[in-house]
Amino acid sequence: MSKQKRSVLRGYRREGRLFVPPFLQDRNLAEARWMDDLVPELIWIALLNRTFGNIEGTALVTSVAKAGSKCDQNAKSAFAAVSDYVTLTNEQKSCVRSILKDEGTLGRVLRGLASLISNYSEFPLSFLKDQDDLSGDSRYSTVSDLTDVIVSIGDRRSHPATFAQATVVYISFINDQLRVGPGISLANFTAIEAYPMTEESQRVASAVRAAVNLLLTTHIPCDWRHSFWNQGRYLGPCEVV
Amino acid sequence: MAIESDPMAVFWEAIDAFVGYLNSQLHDRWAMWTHGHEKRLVHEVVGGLLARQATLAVEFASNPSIWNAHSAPFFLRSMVENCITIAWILKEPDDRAKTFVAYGLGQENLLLEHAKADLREDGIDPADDPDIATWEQWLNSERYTFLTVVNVGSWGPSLREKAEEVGLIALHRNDYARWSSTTHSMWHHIVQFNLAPCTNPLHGYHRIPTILQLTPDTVFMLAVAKYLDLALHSFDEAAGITVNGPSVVDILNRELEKMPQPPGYEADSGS
Repeated sequence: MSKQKRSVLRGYRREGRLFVPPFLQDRNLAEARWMDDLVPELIWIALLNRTFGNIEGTALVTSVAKAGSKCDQNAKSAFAAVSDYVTLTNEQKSCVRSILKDEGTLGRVLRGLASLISNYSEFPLSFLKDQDDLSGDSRYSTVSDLTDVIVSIGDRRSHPATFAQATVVYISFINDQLRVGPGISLANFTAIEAYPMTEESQRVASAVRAAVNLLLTTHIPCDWRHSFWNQGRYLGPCEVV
Repeated sequence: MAIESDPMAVFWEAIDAFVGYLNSQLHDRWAMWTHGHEKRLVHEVVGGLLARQATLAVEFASNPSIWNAHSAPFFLRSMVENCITIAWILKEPDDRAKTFVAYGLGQENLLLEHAKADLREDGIDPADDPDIATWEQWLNSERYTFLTVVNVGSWGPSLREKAEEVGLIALHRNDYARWSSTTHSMWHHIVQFNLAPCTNPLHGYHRIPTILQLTPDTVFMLAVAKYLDLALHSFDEAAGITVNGPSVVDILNRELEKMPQPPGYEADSGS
């Protein structure tokens, strides 16, 4: 077999002592780290999906997000990310709570989010729980629910992670924060239901991941993310295998 | 018949006590060094480098056959460099920890690319190699290779400049230079340890290659303990942490005193 010409770092561009990979050339990219940055923002979706299944979970998430959008009509976010709820005023928070109560979904949402509400004082959706109501949902607030969810979405391409991300995109569609033209993968959004069994679902999932990078990182402050991971350290000791 | 005790038992007990103390020193600091998640990278870098320093000390202590001028300098040079690196990163931890990580991942990416090129030269498609796949998967889990810049220079100023900045220039000038001569197999090491004079006057006193059998010398173990203390001191100062208890050197000296003296050893009477 004939030898090929030796080639190392093919396509990289030399800039002094640095070799820059093709993807980074002439681009000014902002990094989105899945575990550090994105997981805290969509943990609530993954938690509701895990507790009630994807169908009811997505319906509950959608109810909350629609209520957020309805109560803050000037919002520039889709209310898919946890941090989107930080900017709501007290009146807007009461409005969201009232809508969910009237719909009859508030109890289910509180039950599904109990582990976040009980263990994370800074959780931006904690306002859903009536501060005078000390009864009820603490029985559902186990930390193990959260650890299970984080494990299940640790791989960004896993089934639970993909559906949580798809829900972010779905909410962005219905809250009019995202529009796509025909012919691109996201236009066939419903194909993701078959993920990962069909090639089309994998294509859509890939487009969803790309969209989520934009939707969840462009405008969101870091306070909740830091708070989420810092609080996690108080909920249990380090574990080393 | 009485069973004779293992003459090395006292030695290994002393080493175990020393290693146990090292572990406690590292873990005490880790427990006291609280931080927010936003400082995660700094903690991983500095914590990892301190653990590296302690690991070298444990490995060295556990292998007395290398407490000699042939082998000890490999450990000692690494430990001196690590002392300087830790102190330098701790001066501006956020930026320097990031640079340290980016440089390391770039180097790993370059190694991977060379391995792929080697395969291609042999007419093998790297995509068919399972070892390459595993390697690339690990690297991607740290940072995607297509996002990883490769730096073929150094990851900051020279070690000497770093040492100057953190007030460890004497350590660089004396200790690092000394241990480097062995690591790089330079003449001033070779002539002392790998050549022996031929005593035949007819040969003009030339020197012939030799493999010297050296007995373990605790002076090297004490140097290891000193470099670990230095790294811990830099960390304590930067982190504002106070850990009670004797230094690693003090503990080593205490344990060494318990060890049996080699045959023929005569203590200095001081007269």
